[in-house]
Amino acid sequence: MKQAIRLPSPARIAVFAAAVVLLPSALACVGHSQIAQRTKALEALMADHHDQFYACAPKALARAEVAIARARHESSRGRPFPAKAAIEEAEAAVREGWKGSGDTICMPDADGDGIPDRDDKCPTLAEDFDSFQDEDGCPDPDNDGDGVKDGDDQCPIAPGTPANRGCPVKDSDADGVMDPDDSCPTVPGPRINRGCPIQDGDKDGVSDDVDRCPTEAGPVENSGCPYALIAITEDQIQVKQKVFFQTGKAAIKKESFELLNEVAQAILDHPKFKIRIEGHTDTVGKPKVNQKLSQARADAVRMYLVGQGVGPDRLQAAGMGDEVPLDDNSTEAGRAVNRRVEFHILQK
Amino acid sequence: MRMVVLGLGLAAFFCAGCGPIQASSAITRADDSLREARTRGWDKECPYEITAADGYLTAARDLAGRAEFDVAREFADKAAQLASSTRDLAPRNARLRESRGKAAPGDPSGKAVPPADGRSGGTR
Repeated sequence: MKQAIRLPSPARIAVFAAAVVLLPSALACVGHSQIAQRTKALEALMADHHDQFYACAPKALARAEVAIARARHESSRGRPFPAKAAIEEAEAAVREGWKGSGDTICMPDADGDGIPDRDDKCPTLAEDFDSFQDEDGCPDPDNDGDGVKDGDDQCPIAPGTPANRGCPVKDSDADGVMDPDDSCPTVPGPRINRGCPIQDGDKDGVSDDVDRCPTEAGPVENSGCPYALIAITEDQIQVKQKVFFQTGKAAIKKESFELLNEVAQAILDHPKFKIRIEGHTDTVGKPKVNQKLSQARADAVRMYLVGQGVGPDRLQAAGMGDEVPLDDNSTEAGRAVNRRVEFHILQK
Repeated sequence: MRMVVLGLGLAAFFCAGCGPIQASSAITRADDSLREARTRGWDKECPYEITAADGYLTAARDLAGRAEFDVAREFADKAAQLASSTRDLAPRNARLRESRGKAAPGDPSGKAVPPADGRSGGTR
């Protein structure tokens, strides 16, 4: 009995042929993908532990890196089997390296300060761990660089002076006088007064160092001293005493010199002052004579003041006679008031 | 016309010769560097660099044998670079090894130290 041979249909032949042609390509594609994944995983592992491997298993690390490079190349050329062999070689090297570098103590640390040499800027000098730049691995014997060793430095992270035990010299009151030299470190004052403020004991606005009368209030113009015998008002230098002359004459009595000296000083203290000196009489005697006498007395006062250093151009002298009385000329007291010298301020 | 054909022929000839010549030159250069490093004893201080250079040089030779000249040259250059780097690294590692022996007796010694940038050569 003869059996009929069953030939495959054309469709089956086509499927078989496609499988034969496409299967290697599909397998190669899967192989490439796997190799890429394994390469990536290996590289990640080596990146994480590179320094450990480098220090403890340098040859294994080198072999693994070369094998990975070869695997990449073979894979890029579409040769999955050599690529696979290379990646397996790399994996074996990594395994070997892992055994050799599992102990982290293997990281070299020449100075034994716990900072591996690769991160240690001073691999042969141990870090002093004084909370100042401890991460660089270098000891810092003088943190603030002020020349005072940290052990002796009371302010190790603030530059100071040896005299101040390494602490910065402060100027607490910012008066330009450093605290050690400042007798009043919290109150500003000039250097000339050792950093203390200059007092104004009499509160006259003239500080004691320039106040000729530091315990008596006086105007600035008089260097802080009060005018004892005069007062300066808006339009006059008022005298608190009378200017005395010899009877019927223009000669000034000695007793009035002190008063006139102070008037001269006041005029000198106010350089812009221009003064009119007025002479006044009572009504005793003839008006013409009185006018002449008052002019002569005003002139006499002017000359005296010029003699005290007042510029003649700043002084005018006017005889007013008996024409401007202040009081009653019928009484002796009134006449005494009317006999007078006045100093009028023409210009300030 | 004959001159043009001759010119083209010469150009083709030289271009075809470029790859092998360059690869061969790079391999020779790497070989020299590696030999010098070994002769001077730098392989003891720089085991990573020497092993890697050796590996790349072997791979470069292999690739050159398969007429893959570009990659062969690339690998050979890398090998030369690694071998040359031992010139600076070796004295530094030697100094560190010596100081380790004095400063930290309990510390494992004889280990290499990565270059200052913290990275070695290789595929990274």
